[in-house]
Amino acid sequence: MLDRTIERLREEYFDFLPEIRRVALKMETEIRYLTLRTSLSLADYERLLVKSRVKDCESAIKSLRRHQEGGTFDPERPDDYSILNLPDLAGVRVLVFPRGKLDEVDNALRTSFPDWISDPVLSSGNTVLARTYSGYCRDLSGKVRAEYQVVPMLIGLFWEVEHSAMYKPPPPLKGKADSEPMQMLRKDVEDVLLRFETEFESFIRDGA
Amino acid sequence: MAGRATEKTQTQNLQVIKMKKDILRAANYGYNFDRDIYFNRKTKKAFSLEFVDDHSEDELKRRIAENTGGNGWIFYFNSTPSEGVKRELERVLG
Repeated sequence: MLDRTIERLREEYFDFLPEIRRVALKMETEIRYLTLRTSLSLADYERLLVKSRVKDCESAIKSLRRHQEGGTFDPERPDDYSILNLPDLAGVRVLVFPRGKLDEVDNALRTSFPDWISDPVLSSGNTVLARTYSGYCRDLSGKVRAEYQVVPMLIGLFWEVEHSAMYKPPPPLKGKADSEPMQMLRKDVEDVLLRFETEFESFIRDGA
Repeated sequence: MAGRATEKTQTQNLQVIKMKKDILRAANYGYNFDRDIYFNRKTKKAFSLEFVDDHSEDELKRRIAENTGGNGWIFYFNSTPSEGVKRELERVLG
């Protein structure tokens, strides 16, 4: 019965995949355009990178399952679930270094996505790690929700490596990747990267 | 910015979450990261993350202390899980 839920969600995913791809392409293109002025005026040590991705099928299904209380689909109600409930089927990440550039980029994008819902990623110390917004590109799709994130580059690159290593581990490591010691280490890395940026920015200010 | 709580509120929330985690840990509850539930195989009780978030520390202590006989799994969820969900979770928790 659970297989029927999964099969139905896979079918739905592949029905919408062309639309998800179009939304990702539009988002990436629009965000590159909106950040062009910043990109062209970067100092030698500053960086800005725009990356898009389409959530893969199995990640989408797993993510949807984990949105349910108890992380479990009701096998007797396969029609209750839809991948279209996910906020990030198409996603764009804007990586910025140093953090001082975040506001500039964030403001440039907000003007084009004013009604998108903000859901920032917070660190254990309540610092905003990533500014995250989700919504619809209504001229293209009223069904596929997209998300964009403006993230300090060091944190974003760490997440990329960590995500593929820890969330898609080989079978012997499954279940261990999310253990409490690993979570604490992840927080430590994020804290250190933020401290590095703070120190780097004061170094640049003092040298100016 | 919408969706962002004040710093003070967030700090208070984090303290409450830590206290609840400590209560569960002291009662020998493990955490299943894939299902986001706290569970104890000996007492056969499981708490959803949502239930833990939405109920007080005292309520949590009361539920932990509750004598349920331990014959079958008891699920403390905000929304009562269906029989199908219970079966699936019983299979996962062993």
